[in-house]
Amino acid sequence: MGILRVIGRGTIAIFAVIGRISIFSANGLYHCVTPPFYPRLILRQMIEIGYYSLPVVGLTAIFTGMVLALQSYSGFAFAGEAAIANVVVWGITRELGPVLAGLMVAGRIGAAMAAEIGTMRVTEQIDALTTLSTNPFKYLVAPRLIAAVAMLPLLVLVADVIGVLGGFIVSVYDFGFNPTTYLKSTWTSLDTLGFVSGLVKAAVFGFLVALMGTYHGYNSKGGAQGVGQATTNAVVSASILLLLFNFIITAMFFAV
Amino acid sequence: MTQDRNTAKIEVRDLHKSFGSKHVLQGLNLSIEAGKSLAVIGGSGTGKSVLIKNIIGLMEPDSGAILIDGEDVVGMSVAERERVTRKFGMLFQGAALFDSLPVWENVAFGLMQSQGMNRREAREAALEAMVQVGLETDIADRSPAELSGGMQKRAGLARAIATKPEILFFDEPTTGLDPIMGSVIDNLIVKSVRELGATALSITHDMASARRIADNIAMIYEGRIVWHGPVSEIDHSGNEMLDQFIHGRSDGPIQLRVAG
Repeated sequence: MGILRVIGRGTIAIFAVIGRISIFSANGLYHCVTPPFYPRLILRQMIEIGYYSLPVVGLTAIFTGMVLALQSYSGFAFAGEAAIANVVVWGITRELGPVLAGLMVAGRIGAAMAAEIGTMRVTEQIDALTTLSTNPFKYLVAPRLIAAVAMLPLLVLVADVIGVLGGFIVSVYDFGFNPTTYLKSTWTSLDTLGFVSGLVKAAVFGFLVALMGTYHGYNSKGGAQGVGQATTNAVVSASILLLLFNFIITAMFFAV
Repeated sequence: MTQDRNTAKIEVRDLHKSFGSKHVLQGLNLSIEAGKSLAVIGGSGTGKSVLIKNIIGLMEPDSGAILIDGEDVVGMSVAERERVTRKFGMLFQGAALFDSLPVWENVAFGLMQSQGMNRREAREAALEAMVQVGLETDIADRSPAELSGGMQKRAGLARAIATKPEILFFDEPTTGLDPIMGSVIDNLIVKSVRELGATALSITHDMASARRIADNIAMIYEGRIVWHGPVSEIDHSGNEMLDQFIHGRSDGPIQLRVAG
């Protein structure tokens, strides 16, 4: 009986959390599309998410592109230059660009959102918003969701370019490939579906990161320790959800 | 709905609120006349904060009625509730200033958000409110984190009164301040409430503060009001619980359950 009780309690708890997150995101989305809007806050979040994540995402992308070229050279050298360019472009635009950018942003932005909103919760700033006739969902959650969904695809676009550039640098300066031929192979390897799927993933990942950051921050309790816990939960849950959705979206695009 | 006892600005009827098995509010009744200042006193964990959160709408009661100007706000739609909330101003225990905004934007927040005032006008109004609570206007562009506790409380008060609310709430206004600053804040509260002609509800466990800011005192114990009367009568109320509380005696009808 004991084991059944444990399983039952665990199952109920999981569904309760899924339910709470679903209600939270439905509420957040509703407030994204109903006035009043806060363009100032959306812009501030866009700068925070888009502009200030550029260095991290750029560095991640360039090293990943370089490593991808090195690895595929040691594995597919027999297949020629075109194969290397192909592996780099596909790897970056379809998977590594969006996933690694998403994970970096989860660490940077998801954590910051959870910490900021969590602190606002435990210092009663969220209650203060309500007493000043301002809906906390509109003021805190909606701008972050909008900004993250808008900025992640742009970040991934940059990551794609820099990642491919990393592969190019290694191929040309290390392996001595002809730059023109390499770029030509890169261009022919680039497929619309793969590229678009990467950007769709980016938008979804942006939503997930902002959702987890705001959700855990909004529901944090119990002072500094609670805020720390919320921050950890935001990053961990966003990363896992991101990888789960990466699989789901890949399956939707490419499973025949 | 009839507006019986027609001068009641806030009326709470048979309010119940539980958290799990903890029955915090157990049929609380309370009414505050328009233009009067009531302090609800009581120990920690007796339900003071829960009461104020229910009235403001940060919590929904399990049952009972809360009438603001004769209108029951329990179960109101979000939009209707927001309309009622516009009558409120609140000073939080820790001031709860928005640390992402400079001081003046904190004070002007309600004016810009709910009254749609433009930034320039709102800044002027905010500076005016800051002067009213004795803040130098040259701190307007500073971040709240740079202010001392007393200044943060003043800024919080300025934010609460800037929208000229009809009802003001004060949550432990003197907690965390030295006695002199506490007294300064109390005097500012009295002055602000009087100038606005507002109705005020404070919760506090600081008796000196309660005597200064309130016309009437209500004592809460185990989720009910056990005594309610004018501040002049608290010293000879004949109520043992009130006596024990205002004299801070550890023995008496109120038994603190020390967690163990």
